[in-house]
Amino acid sequence: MTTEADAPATTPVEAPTPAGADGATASPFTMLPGAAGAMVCEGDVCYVPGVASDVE
Amino acid sequence: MPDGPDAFAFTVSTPIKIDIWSDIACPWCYIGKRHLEAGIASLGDDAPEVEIEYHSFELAPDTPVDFEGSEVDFLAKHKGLPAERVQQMLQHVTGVAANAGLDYDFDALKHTKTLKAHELLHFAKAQGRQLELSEVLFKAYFTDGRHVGRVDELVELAAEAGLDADAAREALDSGRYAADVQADIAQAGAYGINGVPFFVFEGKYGVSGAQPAEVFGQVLTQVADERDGAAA
Repeated sequence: MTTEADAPATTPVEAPTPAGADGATASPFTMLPGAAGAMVCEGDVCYVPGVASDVE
Repeated sequence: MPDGPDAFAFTVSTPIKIDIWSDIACPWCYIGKRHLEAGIASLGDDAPEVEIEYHSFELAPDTPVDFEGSEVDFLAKHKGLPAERVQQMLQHVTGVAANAGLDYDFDALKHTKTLKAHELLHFAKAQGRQLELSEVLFKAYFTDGRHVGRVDELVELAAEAGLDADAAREALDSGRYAADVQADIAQAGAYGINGVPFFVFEGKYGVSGAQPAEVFGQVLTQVADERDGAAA
């Protein structure tokens, strides 16, 4: 199924810093990479870490 | 299968612990929940037993309990984006949710502060019904357009999750679990968790985001294999 809803969000926004990447707080966990494109939400912004695409 | 006294250690295993930081108002947290469930189910008879615990994360603490306007209004204002762009974003996430078997209705959604909902989740955890309530709350918010910020509605939802309504109301009115909510949020900060959903397996492996079901299945298999190897 191909719909507009399936289209990847491409409008770049300023992506929040991934956990621990700013050096302020390092994650105590062994981070498993998972799949590219997995969304996380921070504040009002949902994004793909490192990719800077937004979707709420 | 070993015999004798040591057999017990080989035949009884503790569940794999999965700690999840999420917010009820997080569309990708509900999708991630479904993906995790699908990942577990995909392992069939090989699926390890899991114990899931939800932890509080408040995405937008400044959100009012009663926001007058639509989700598009809220996001357009907070993101500074044109309403048309926000609608496109919501269409996208609605489509992804549909692929996960979820029926998101952003037109009906009532944007609200989720602090009390998190308190209720802690109450439910104490009653052994946190998973049931988390599903009820996510569905109420994203599918049914119900208000998860008001005590009266939360009490109704608690009852739908099999909780005692009077006890739920008392817990919410007293704020008994408010400190637990803040402790979860503080723990997330200490762990460097800035975004949700965030999954921790066995207190060791972190997985960020609404990963596909197959990723969760792979992680569970890896964790189970590692544990089995250590026990051998």
